[in-house]
Amino acid sequence: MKPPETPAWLDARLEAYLDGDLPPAEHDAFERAAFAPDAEADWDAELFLARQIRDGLRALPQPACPPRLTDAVLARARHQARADRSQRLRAWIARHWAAWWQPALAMTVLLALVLSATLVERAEPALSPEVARARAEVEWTLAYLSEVGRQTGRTVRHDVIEMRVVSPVQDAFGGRRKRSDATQR
Amino acid sequence: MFWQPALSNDVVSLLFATAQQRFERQVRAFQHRVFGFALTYLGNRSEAEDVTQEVLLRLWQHRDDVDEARLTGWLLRVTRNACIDALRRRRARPDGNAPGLDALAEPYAEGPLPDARAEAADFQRLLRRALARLAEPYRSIVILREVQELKYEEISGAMDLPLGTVKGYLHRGRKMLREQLREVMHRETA
Repeated sequence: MKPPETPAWLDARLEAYLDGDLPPAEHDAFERAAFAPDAEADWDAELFLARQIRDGLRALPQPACPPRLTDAVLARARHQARADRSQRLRAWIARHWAAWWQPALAMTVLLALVLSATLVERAEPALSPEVARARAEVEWTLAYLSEVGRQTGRTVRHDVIEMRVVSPVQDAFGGRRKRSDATQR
Repeated sequence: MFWQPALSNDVVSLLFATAQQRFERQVRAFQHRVFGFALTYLGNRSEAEDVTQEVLLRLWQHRDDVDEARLTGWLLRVTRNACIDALRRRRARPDGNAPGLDALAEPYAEGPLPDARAEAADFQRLLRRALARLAEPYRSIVILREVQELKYEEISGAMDLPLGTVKGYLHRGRKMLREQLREVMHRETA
């Protein structure tokens, strides 16, 4: 369909024409209508103004961000990071404390019970003087018996040696002496 | 075993350090673009600084949610919204109707100006004033495309608009500027 090349139609497409964004058919129609010798409006002047606006916008200064602003932002972020970290740590402790304080307490109580029971078993009761004396006597008696036993053990050992070693040796030597005495006679 | 910590303290510190380093890199990469947009949009240095600070801190708060590949669009969208809010706050003040045009440095302001340069400076002043009067979304799109020189695709992402719509708004926005300027220039010459 042939576009209606009215001044409004041209006006609406002037920027797109300047940027080369018109479809080929509309681009050609625009040029035919705008630059015709009998065109009503001064499209050259309009195009000049449109180009001036586009170039003027592109020439607007682009100021740099002040360094103090960037530094302030980064400092604040660092501060917030520290606060976040301690907050997370507190939350972590609160969360995990609830989970393990009961088992830990139970373990501690159990350990305390075992330790105290062991210590109670090992502790010597306090002795009265009579009991201490009796105990000393018993110990002395036991020591005496032990010594007697030791000595008896030695006697026995001697008897065994006398009977099994000394006597046979004496018999052997005595017998030989008796035989030599008899020969000399 | 009663519990197993998800992350040790060292890993937490490392993650925090990495996040901070990434944030610092992003701030250094985008600070000028954010500030430039805010200043062009608002025309007021103090307000532009406030907006820039707000946007960059918002980036820190959303550092885990923002996809790095879509960071440009996210930042420009947040900056634009912050600018619109700042403008609304300004208009709510009793003396807040006048568009702020104090901040954009005059590029031709030093010394006596030759005629051509004076004319260009005058045109830029009119242009900034016309831009400050432009409605949304034309104003944002014109700034993003013509001043910040973003690609159509980037603008489409930042504004959450289809590509064809962005082009349409851009041409219409420039046409509005042309109409405003034609009128002003006609008044001045008359």
